[in-house]
Amino acid sequence: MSSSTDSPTLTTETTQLSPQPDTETAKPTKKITLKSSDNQIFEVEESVAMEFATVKSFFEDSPSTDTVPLPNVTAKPLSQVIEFCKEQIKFKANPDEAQKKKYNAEFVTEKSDKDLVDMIPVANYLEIKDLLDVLNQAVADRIENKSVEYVRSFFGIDNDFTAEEEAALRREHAWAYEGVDED
Amino acid sequence: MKVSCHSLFICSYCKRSRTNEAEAGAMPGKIPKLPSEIISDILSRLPVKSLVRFKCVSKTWRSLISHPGFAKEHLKRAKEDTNANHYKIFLSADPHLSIDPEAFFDADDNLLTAQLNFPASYSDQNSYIEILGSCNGLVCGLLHRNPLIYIWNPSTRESRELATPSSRELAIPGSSEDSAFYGFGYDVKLDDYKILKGYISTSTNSSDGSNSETKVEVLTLKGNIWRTIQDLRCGVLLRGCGTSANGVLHWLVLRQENVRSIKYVMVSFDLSEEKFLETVPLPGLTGDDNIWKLELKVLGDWLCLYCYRGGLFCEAWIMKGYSSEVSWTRILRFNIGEPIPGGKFWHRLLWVKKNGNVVYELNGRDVVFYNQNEGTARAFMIYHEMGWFDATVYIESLVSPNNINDGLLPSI
Repeated sequence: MSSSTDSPTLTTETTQLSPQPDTETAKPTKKITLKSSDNQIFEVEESVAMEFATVKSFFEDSPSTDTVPLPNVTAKPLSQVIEFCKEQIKFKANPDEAQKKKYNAEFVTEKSDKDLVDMIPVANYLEIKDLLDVLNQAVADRIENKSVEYVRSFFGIDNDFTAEEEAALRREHAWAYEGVDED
Repeated sequence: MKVSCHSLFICSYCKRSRTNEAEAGAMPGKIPKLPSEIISDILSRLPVKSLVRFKCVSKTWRSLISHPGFAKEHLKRAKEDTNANHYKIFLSADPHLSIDPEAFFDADDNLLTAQLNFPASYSDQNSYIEILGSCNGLVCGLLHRNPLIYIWNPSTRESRELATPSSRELAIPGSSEDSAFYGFGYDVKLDDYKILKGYISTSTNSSDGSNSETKVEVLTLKGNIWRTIQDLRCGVLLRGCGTSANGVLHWLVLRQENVRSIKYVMVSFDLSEEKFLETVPLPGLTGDDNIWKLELKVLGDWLCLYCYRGGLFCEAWIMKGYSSEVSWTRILRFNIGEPIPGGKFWHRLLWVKKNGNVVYELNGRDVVFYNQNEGTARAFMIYHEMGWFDATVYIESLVSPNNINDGLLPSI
């Protein structure tokens, strides 16, 4: 399997990664292997992996490691996070605020609610500040004009108010319930 | 249990996030529970109206949204956010109105205003409400007919009536023979809001106030007791309401420099130190400059000086730095006279929009949006039966007049 493609290289753990000499590619770049909790292996360029503060400090502590286990992270959100970070590296090399804003907006727009929320703990755990900021803002934008019921189901929150308590709260702030979007 | 606000905020985070993290990622197909510091970060990006509604989501959410520490985080983000506008114009009309100054030119009037139900217990119909100050989302008002001072958050619509000053009855600023002045602002060191009420008695001495008696009382929202500040001397005659920026109140004063020259100076009062600061020179303005109007404003966190000269030019500067380091940067200069009917005479600057357009209050009766590039003006229709209103800009915040800090542990 070629490791020089742009998309995250997804293999199973059984695929033995032979330590390919970098000389094969025109521009030699070091690859880092990440292993998700569901035992998927991701090979990413070092520059991308270094966007993850958690991975970076892992390597600083144990430089000889070749695979970084990520026990809190499953494959799907991880692949999306890697996709995002690859783009950010490009913007780092060629700063273009307008393009970056556009990319970030598109990145979150096309994601489902679940995909967005699934990525948040990953971005948080890997300490990718920019992504966390983009994701939290995207979630805020999605719930801003929504009803209480919608928000409960969005976050999987159980209503622990009694019917009387809830009715009292709604009466007290009736104006805040006006002009809410359809669920 | 009383805990200092900040540490409580962090602590409750840590505690809750640990328990929630264990649950994160569980249950495939269902949205995982997010750590509470993430929930808090997401909520701090929402407008106040959404947050007031979301108090109803769960008891944990209600505690978080009601917490003074969260209100601070929310306010901080609103002040730093450059993508959205968090400032509104508040009009003490009947009923009270709130206008979004950034959106006005593009949308229907009705979509931009919200009627605010003023707490009925205070309202003596037809009473003029003078705004003494606006700070961090709180508006301090003085009811004229049935004199009382109240604090109101127009965004959450929470309000509180305050104790009446002890020494004298509430004077309407500028109405009595003596010079009365007021101020409302935030004391960073105390983490509390203060209302200042002062008199400079002119009966004792000369008309320029240089030897007059200064009497200042101050009230903190937490204490709600008026206290006299001893041994204050201001040296000039202060009148009206101070403008609060960064924990300091500011007034403009005309000062006789010598027989021939009158100069405008800015007098400042530090709310933490509770003392007057050195007067600050203004950008080259003298009494001879044919100034029709000179006033202080706050734009965002900046103190702004607005000047209208000779019925012709409007200029505005923002102040950077303090005392000897002070510098003024001009942000506006244009001719206002013709396009705004009546604008030649009595207007007050309310807001400078991101695109450079300007919002004025006219004669205490109209709000006018002025497009300086095209030289066009659009009046905002206000149904207001009873004469005049006062106006101020406020930032949308959750800051509560009743619960400033030292918040009790949220009952989770």
